[in-house]
Amino acid sequence: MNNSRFIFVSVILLWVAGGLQQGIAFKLSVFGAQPDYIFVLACLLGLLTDVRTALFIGFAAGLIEGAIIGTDMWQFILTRMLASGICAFLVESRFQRNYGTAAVVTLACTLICGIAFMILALQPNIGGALKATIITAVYNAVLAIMAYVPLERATGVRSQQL
Amino acid sequence: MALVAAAIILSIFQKNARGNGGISFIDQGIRLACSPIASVSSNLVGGVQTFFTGAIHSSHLQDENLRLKRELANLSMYADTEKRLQREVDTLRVEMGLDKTYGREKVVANISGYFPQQNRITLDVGRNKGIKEGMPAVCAHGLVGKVQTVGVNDCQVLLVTSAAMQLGAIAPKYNPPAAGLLYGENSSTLVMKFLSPDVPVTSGDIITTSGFSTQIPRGIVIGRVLSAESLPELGSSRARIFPAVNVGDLSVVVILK
Repeated sequence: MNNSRFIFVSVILLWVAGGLQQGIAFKLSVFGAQPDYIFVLACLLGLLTDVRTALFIGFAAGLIEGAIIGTDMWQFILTRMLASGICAFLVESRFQRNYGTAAVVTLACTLICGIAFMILALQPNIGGALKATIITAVYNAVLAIMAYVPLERATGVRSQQL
Repeated sequence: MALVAAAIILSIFQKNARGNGGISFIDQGIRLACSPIASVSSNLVGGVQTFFTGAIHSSHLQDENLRLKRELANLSMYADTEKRLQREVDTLRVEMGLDKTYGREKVVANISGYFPQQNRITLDVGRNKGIKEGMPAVCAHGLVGKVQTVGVNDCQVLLVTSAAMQLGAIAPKYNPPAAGLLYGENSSTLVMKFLSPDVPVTSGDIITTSGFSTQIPRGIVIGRVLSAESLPELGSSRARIFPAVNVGDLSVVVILK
């Protein structure tokens, strides 16, 4: 893996994901839940790197998301670091890295981090937020399947056999 | 640990700036950096959506267009009368020494971001259009929310459905109007608290802003009463309100300056 290439591609993609989150996420909502492009990217980049770099990517992802939404900055940063860190840890623990893993891990991380966010941000409407998190998790998993292979090629990281 | 500390410091910056009605320079910088992509992608998706909506509903849209043209022709007949009456009302209010609550300048703003979990929307107007913290954002159906933070070219509105939003409200049907404090419960319900156990509000009553504020004028519709209950042991009563505005259906709002 070429580290400078990976970092360069990550920065560009986080910028693009931030723009998409700001501009179109709410227009593409399904049953009231929006896709979370920045979160998906944080998970996928986490799968393609080591834990230390993944934590930095999670930090940047949370920073961008918190800045765009304008509130709950530390909650966003911590949950995105957690998601990206989990993804990297799973790959380092000899989990196979492929688009199937990407989908499952993104779905699971969205659920875990969604619940963690609800607790950290003290959200009042837990039922509604939980429903939105579940729909977003499925949405994110579908996006992860579509984005994994192009992302792998862009970063120059090789996939592992199924 | 350093990253966690940095996250907390950034959060403090953000919270302090929000407390002063502004946007922290980090938030502003990131939003500005992302705005070219946001603008291009928004126009692209908007164009595609409009194209498909137009193609699917073309016959319905033609009928609607004809009907609206007829209605516009009818309404234009009353425009002169409405302007004359408005002038009379404004003159009388000035003569009576009342605040000019309804003659406010309006700023039309596009919704450029909607965050339902945080009960916030981002608008594409800011200090460049004279927007200030606390100004109400409204639409044809009623009150959308209140401006919480203002940047140079954008601002964020805290929706009425937010639990963090507290607002004076009245049920204008009664004389004197039943007044209470309103706050968000969840995305589809608000709660209004009255400081009396025997308030006469019932299901279906319209709730509006009280006007007990220099920034939000009286009479903007907030919603309808779903149910009301008396709490004599607490010396109060409570009503659940269904908001008049569904933010998901909006693309444009008006800020009253």
